[in-house]
Amino acid sequence: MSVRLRRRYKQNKQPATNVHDHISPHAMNNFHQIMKRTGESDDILHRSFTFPTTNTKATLIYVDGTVDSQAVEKILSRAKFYSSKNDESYQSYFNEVGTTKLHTSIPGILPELLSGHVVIFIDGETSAYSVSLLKMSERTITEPLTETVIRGPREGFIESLRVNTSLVRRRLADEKLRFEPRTIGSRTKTKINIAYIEGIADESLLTELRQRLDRIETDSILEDGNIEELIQDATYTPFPTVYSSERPDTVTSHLLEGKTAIFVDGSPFVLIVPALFVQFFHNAEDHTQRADIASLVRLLRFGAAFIALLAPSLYIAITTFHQELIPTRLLGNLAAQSEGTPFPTFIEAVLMEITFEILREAGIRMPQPVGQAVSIVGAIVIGQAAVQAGIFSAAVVIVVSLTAIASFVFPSYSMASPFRILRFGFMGLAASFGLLGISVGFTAMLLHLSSLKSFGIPYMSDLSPFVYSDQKDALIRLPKWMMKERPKTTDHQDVERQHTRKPSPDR
Amino acid sequence: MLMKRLSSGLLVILSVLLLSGCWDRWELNELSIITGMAIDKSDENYELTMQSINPAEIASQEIGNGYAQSFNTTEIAPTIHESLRKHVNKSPRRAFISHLQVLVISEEVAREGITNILDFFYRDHEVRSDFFVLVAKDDQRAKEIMGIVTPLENVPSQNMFDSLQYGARSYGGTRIVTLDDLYQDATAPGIEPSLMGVTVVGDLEEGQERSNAEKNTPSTTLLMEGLAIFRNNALVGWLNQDQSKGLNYITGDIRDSVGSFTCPNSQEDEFALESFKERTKYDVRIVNHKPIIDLTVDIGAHISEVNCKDLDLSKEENFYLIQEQAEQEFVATLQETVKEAKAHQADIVGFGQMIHRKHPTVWEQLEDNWAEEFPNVEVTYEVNINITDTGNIINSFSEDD
Repeated sequence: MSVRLRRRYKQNKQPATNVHDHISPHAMNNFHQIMKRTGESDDILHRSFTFPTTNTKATLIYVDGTVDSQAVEKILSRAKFYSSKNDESYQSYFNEVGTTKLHTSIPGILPELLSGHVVIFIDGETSAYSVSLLKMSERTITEPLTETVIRGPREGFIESLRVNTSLVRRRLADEKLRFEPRTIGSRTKTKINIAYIEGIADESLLTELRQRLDRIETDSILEDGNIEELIQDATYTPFPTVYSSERPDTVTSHLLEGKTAIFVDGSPFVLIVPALFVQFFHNAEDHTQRADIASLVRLLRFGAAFIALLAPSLYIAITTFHQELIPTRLLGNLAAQSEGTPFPTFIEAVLMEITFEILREAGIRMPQPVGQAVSIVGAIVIGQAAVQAGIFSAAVVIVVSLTAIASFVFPSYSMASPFRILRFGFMGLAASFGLLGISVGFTAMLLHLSSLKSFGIPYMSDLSPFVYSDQKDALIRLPKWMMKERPKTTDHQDVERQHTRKPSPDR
Repeated sequence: MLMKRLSSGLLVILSVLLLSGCWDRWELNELSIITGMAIDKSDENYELTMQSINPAEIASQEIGNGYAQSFNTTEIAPTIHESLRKHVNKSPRRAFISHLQVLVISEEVAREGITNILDFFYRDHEVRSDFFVLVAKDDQRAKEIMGIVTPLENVPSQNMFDSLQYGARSYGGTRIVTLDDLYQDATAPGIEPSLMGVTVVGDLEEGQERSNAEKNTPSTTLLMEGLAIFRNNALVGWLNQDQSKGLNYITGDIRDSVGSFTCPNSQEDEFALESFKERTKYDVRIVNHKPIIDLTVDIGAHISEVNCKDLDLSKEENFYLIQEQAEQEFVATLQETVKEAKAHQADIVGFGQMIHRKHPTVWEQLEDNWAEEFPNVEVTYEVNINITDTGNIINSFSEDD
């Protein structure tokens, strides 16, 4: 039985021996050739037609669903008006419908065919024409799910590379804006665009980026995260060294600061390099709100980052090693809560944190209608029952909840992750060495952060190395008219940004 | 290579974490938080009473059983630290004294000298030096003071702590002396320590009962009064409340206080001044090789109560009359204070330090004999009261109107 199956399989394979690369003067032969190569795929269609004036037969091949079917009809319907007497070549004739390229071999044609081109074979010709008529169904532009703002544009990127670049072009009608194409992935042939503004973006950085992209040898790039992992500076760090954004306005503003963006077809996220630590705490809203509240909110975010990172570990350290630091009355209350609880504070905190992480993961993965059930169960389990059952002390619940809320303040989801990971490390240090452990761990973390680089630029830039003039938009944000120059860390040419004076009524 | 580096790194971290073994880790429910200590004399040894709070009972949550909010244990051992560690013999938890708030020393012990007992408190790393030190007055046993249950604040040590703390901010009859202050006064030349006194008012037996705290008028309360005077770190006498207040004025340790004074126009009636600002300056003059200390006390006050008949406060001259009267009585109080200190040859004010600072060479001659020289030092007083306000009304209402 199995022998016979194998034989049949071999027989099926047989036609492969007839594969040839050259283009046959018989149009239909070429179609069969392509069908052989693509294994008779269902989505490859062909239409035969004749040029009436010359009585030449032709075959048009395309992948269903990737091309504009109206344009295909246009080619077919206009064929009868084609006249070779006008000295009109086929190429210029097809060019009227879409960008047309000439090909002389089947392998050259296939990638085009598979990425939204219509391929036309004409009897008597040993070359073929591919007309770019890409039109795939795509999601409409909606508000980004991450990086939401109260005031500011509501547009977010979608999965189409062209639409995404157009969203940036719309905001940046500058002739110096460049979109440099790349195709990466031997099988996926993912289209990628490197975007930058010539004259602002650093040339050496661009060269480095091009090199890193060219070094990628993979069969597939499915979305921006694949690219990020393949071009980032350091792998063994929890901290992200490539920034990703779903917002065209964010990408535009970074381009104007001399950074470089990488658009990946099929992903609604655009990568931005170099990425600095402080940048992950910035939000588009910082620039749409007034400078005073924007600055305060930024400081609040840094404060929240400290809470998200250190609150549980500080609680563990202080209540198990440094009780003398707690005011007497508070100590009494804390001690009262820990009366009769069976676990050490560290175990309590770790269990609570893990419970929370499970709930959080469940909340994200759950189908939306069930999501509410998770939050109700979570609130009951964490908030009420655990304390009433005397398993956890109420103070630990408060600390863990505070930590959880603080960790949602991060404007960038990718920066929240390192803090989630390190939190557990700090809790371990706190449980073993108290505040001493925390301070050693924190110092180690700072050293590590200072050692990181993103495309040659120190990760902690603006703060360390300290750049005084860039403090205008680092921890706080000063009013727009004060930012007369672009950030010095990422931009060394065309420094001046504006000459606007301090706004005031004419005197 | 990478795996080797990773695993060796992990090994180092694990061994550091696990071998250290959290050796000085104490969970909150393993600690007995001691907020008060009392030291009495028992034959040859010290009798140490430790008051620890019962967290479940003092918490605002309803998790307690309605038992006492604190509990006292008493240990007898040759040294204080040993008594402290023996606490666990009677209690299920380890004694933790960083949150000590008051230390009450019995008068008997204080008369013998406090140097011995304080050594532990200065030396131990767990002790914070910001608790208050008091002396049990009227031959009251310090241990008994720790057992008086009163309303509002059921834990006696907390009660004393708060009473002293807020007393200093509203009346000034008490004097806050922390272990730090005591250390400085006891070791520095030219000043002697003084400690706040505490005693029990009412029936001792009833005061121990919880019913005492359940009454509107508790039959027994704690009373913060009097200031113990020390010479060579041994108790030699007491100042009364007015004199303690006087001492606070001289040393500038008063913030907000109220005093009653005789009316300028009649000896029977009185008025009250509330002082809100106080500054003391001193100067030392050398006349005939003898130091004379000039004290200047500036007080900002307003009239807070007037019972004087026919005193028209809308007239400026009457203001001056009142000021003058108050100044005179103030000077008398200050004189009383210094007189009492001189009687015990105990320089609790720190005149010696004043001389040392202004005339170091003169001090060198006096230093060795200071206890004998101190009563001979002449002191002049100048009190300036600046009355700024009469309160919400100007004149008292009278039947004539």
